[in-house]
Amino acid sequence: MMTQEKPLAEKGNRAPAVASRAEASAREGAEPLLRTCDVTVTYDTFEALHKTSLTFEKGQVTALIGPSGCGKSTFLRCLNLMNREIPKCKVGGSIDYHGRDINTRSENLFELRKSIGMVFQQPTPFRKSIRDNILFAPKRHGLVKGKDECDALVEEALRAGALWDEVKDKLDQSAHALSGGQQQRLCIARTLAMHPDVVLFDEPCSALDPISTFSVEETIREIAQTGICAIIVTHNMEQATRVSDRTAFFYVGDMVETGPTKQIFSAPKDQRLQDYLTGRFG
Amino acid sequence: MAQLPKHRVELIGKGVTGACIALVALLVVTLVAMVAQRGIATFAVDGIDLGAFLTGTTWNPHQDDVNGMPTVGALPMISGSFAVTLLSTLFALPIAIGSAIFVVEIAPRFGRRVFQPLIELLVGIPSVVYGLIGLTVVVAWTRDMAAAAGQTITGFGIFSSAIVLAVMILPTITSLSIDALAAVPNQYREGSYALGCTRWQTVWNVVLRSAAPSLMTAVILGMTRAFGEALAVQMVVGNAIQMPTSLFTPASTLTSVLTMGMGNEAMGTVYNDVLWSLALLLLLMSLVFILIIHLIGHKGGTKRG
Repeated sequence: MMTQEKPLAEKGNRAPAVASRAEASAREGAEPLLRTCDVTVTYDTFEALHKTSLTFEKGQVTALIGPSGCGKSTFLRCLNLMNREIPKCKVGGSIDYHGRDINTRSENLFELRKSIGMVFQQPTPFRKSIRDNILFAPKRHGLVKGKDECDALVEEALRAGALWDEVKDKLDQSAHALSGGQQQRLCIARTLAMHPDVVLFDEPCSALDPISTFSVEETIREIAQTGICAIIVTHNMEQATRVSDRTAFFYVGDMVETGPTKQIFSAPKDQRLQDYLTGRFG
Repeated sequence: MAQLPKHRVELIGKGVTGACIALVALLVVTLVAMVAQRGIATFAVDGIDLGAFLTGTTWNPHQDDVNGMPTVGALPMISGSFAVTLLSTLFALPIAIGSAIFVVEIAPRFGRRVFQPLIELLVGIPSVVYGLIGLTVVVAWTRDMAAAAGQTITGFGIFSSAIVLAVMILPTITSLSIDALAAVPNQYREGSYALGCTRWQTVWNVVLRSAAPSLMTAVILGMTRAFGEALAVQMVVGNAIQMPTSLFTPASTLTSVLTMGMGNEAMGTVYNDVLWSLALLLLLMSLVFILIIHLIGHKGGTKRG
């Protein structure tokens, strides 16, 4: 676990976050980076997620597992307020990030999403060059100026996304010419270029072949080692065991059981989790 | 024995549908061939110089020039046609894209229920009605505005035509732009939102960018319509066959000259042949527009893959 803050993450004018971060480190990490308290999600009248409370620490990978439609992706999308983009979707409860509730109307979602990044199931590189994909958000937010700074950030992000060696000679080519796995790592690199402290992965490997899956998993482990809090939704249980430190099991809108990954898979307590792990449903 | 009638029905079906295809194909081929044959006759039979036709600025078919040939410089109406087309697209495009963004990104329900039917209604209005409104409203308005600025003009001309045409092509460009924006996968928007981009940044940098090839197609289809529109333009353009020197003086387009001139001359005269050449020019331009659309379609297709 890394206690040192990454210097670039402080850019972008997040005064309240910085204040609470200092507070948090003063308490020697007693405060978790991200904590949800009784979070519920309703679509129109349908409650997709019942009261869910989880905590996420820095430098830790947490896997959210469960059968399709269990609410794990829905929960993940709460954490960067992505559900706000869906009409008639309501999120209840509180989400504490750096000790501050972000599930409020006054929260600036655009500022928030700079530090809570997200990678989706389908790779979504924009119809631009590889370089412009990386620089897209930093430029929009005015985080980089000048060619040197841009080049440095592109290299840093692509290295962090484990893509640099493959694309360093074709940075100005279209991102759409990359393979699926490369596109997904580009999306991870693009997210890391914003220097987030939380990255959410929504089934990042389900559209990828085994080799690409392996490299994406390795990338997730590596970024966790730099102190980033990674949260990954997956329906691949081997993936959860390979990549995560902690696991939470969701079933029909309930967070059923959570704990260290080893314990969840070797000594599951809840009957539903046992059934799921032995393949009796899902 | 029971097989035979069934087999015969198959044959009849094939025959009937095949005949339909053959008829359509024949129609297209003969149409192009006829326009081409008559249009080329101007140069091949009547001996008019192609260069002089395309670049000549004087149009006076009943007066022979120094070489004893009729003076048929078509540049005034060629430039008139391009001027009204480009100007009308310029007027219509921002409005069309703006409303498409509103319909797709901001109020999809309002868009589907109210705006799109409204737009489709606009497509259905006959062009003579547009011309009439242009004549009574746009021409008069242009004249009054100029009068307020101390200028005396008739109000007829490229500017008025471009405004009328802009309204006419607006629905085409708008509804195709709506389709283009709606076809952008939602993942692109979410990808942008997840990076902390605002809705505006997302629309401007991601959605419009991804939809660019389809938007180009929408623009060119609109331009094709503007280029080929005859009646409404003829009613407001002023029909003075001279090189356009101002947007506010009477001018003419390929289509307006055609509609004015056809029927006044007997088949086979030089003047009549020259009109066919104008028609051929129009046809070729439409073909170019359609070709561009196909090229864009292919390029977009490979890029997306």
